Amino acid sequence: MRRAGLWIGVVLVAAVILAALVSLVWTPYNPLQVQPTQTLRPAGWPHLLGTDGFGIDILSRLLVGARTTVYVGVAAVSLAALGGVPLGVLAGMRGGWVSEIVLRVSDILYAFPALLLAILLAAAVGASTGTAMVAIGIASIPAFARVARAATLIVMTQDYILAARASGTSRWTTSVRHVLPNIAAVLGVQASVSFGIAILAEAALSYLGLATPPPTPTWGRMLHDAQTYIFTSPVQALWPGLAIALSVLGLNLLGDGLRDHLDPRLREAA
Amino acid sequence: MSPLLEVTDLRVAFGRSHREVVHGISFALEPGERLGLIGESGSGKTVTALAVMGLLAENAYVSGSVRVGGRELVGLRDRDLAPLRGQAMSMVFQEPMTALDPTMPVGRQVAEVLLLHQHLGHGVARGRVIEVLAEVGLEDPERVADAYPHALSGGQRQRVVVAMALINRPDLVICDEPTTALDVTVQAKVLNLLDAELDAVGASCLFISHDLAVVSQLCERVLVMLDGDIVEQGSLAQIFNSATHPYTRGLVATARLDAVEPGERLPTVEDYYQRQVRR
Ligand SMILES: Nc1ncnc2c1ncn2[C@@H]1O[C@H](COP(=O)(O)OP(=O)(O)O)[C@@H](O)[C@H]1O
Ligand SMILES: [Mg+2]
Repeated sequence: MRRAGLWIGVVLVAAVILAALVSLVWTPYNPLQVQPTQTLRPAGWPHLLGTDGFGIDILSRLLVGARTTVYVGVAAVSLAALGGVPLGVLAGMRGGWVSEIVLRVSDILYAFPALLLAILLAAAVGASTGTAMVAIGIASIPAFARVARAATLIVMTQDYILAARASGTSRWTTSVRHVLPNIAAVLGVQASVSFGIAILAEAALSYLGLATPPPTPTWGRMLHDAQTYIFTSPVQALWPGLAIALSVLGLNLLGDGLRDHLDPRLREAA
Repeated sequence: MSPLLEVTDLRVAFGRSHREVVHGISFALEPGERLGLIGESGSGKTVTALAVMGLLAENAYVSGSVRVGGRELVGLRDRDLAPLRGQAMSMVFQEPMTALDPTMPVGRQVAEVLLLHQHLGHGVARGRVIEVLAEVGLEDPERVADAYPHALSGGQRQRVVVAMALINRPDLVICDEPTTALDVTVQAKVLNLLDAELDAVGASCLFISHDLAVVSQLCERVLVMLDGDIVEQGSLAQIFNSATHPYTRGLVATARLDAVEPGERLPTVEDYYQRQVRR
């Protein structure tokens, strides 16, 4: 049963990435082309998922929207990992006041929700895909720092770390050669969970107009547009809602499945 | 001859409360000598070893003096100590299961020790690693070098750990219960190996164990540690024949189980030494 969860997760996540890749070379229709004569078509032929209030092919818009989702997710998770992992490993290896400072800083960041950061950034430099990436990325740093610190604390109790140091390996080299590879699996679980959170956040921000500006299709923006027809054509909200829900579900199943495969000692860190 | 390792009034305390676990111990180790450090679990043996290596956790407070080859190590910065570790002094750890990094082929881990201290090409380093793995009695050293730790048995791993500790021919090797986690037959083999390799390299050894029988196979002289103090030291003969501390007499009795008459109850350390209840 748990194995099935992992595989469903893999399939769902692969589907999102595949959709994003396919949209780079092909979409059934032009996702920007407004067709006033074709509005609110039901699912069928030739528009597999129907058309929206502008007469744009919904499937095409979903495929291109997957691209933004993947971009923002990958960028935000990378930023969060680049910021959080070194901090967490440092705190876990050094302990004492270094650890205290890292924990305080991550508490402060944690108190700033991605939404607030995004509003501030959008006000300062204008809403864009980039502001969403940065806002969500920064907001995800504390989660990575905490998990990296917890996993490092566990790895540091292992003799191979002491053995490396007893052989003359410096702290820095030890962290890169021996700590990082041993916490990598835990970080993978965190990346998967954070990616799911990033997708939700990206959808919320573009729904609110704080991320990728129109006309570029995003799932959040599609939800926003569907609002107008919520009573006349509720199926408009179904497609982007389903896309968001399934990809978040996929990433969570993937994260849970990977966690089950972790070394039991490290599981509590993830 | 001046001692290779000279420890004077070494004290180690931990944490905010400064709980002292090593209470001002002193001992010396001559070049080429093997010194046993014996004591029950929790008596401060590992802490003493790590204090010599400068590898105690950040929450440890160390005072006193540790001199290796005449050089004071207490208070040195990590970056000044690192070049000595693995080169002038090295350590063999207790747990062969955890002393090797599970994410790295063991040959690379041995090569790392070599490359940290010598500028060698990777091909030369690998050749030397294979050589040393063969020296410590590993069959098919090429295959072992490419194996990950989980693919090796406990005895094989401990041989790899010994290879790591000896590859740079250090002056001092600290063995922290190197055979405790192994089963008896493997234990005897690893002890023989250590015996031969320490001689081959000409290294001195501080050999830690809770088992006097094991120590007596390797060492000429013994320190007895109890609750952070050295309560007795002397040659093996002195320890076995004229120990003064009741705890040491208990250790001797438990190490001489062959002297027990059939049917008699086996002696325990507690028959000789009862710890005062602390208030
Ligand atoms: N990092 C540490 N922090 C606090 N106490 C420690 C630490 N390491 C060891 N101790 C304590 O020091 C004492 C001696 O431990 P140790 O040297 O490991 O004993 P052993 O003789 O079994 O090797 C024990 O009471 C142990 O709890
Ligand atoms: Mg110990």
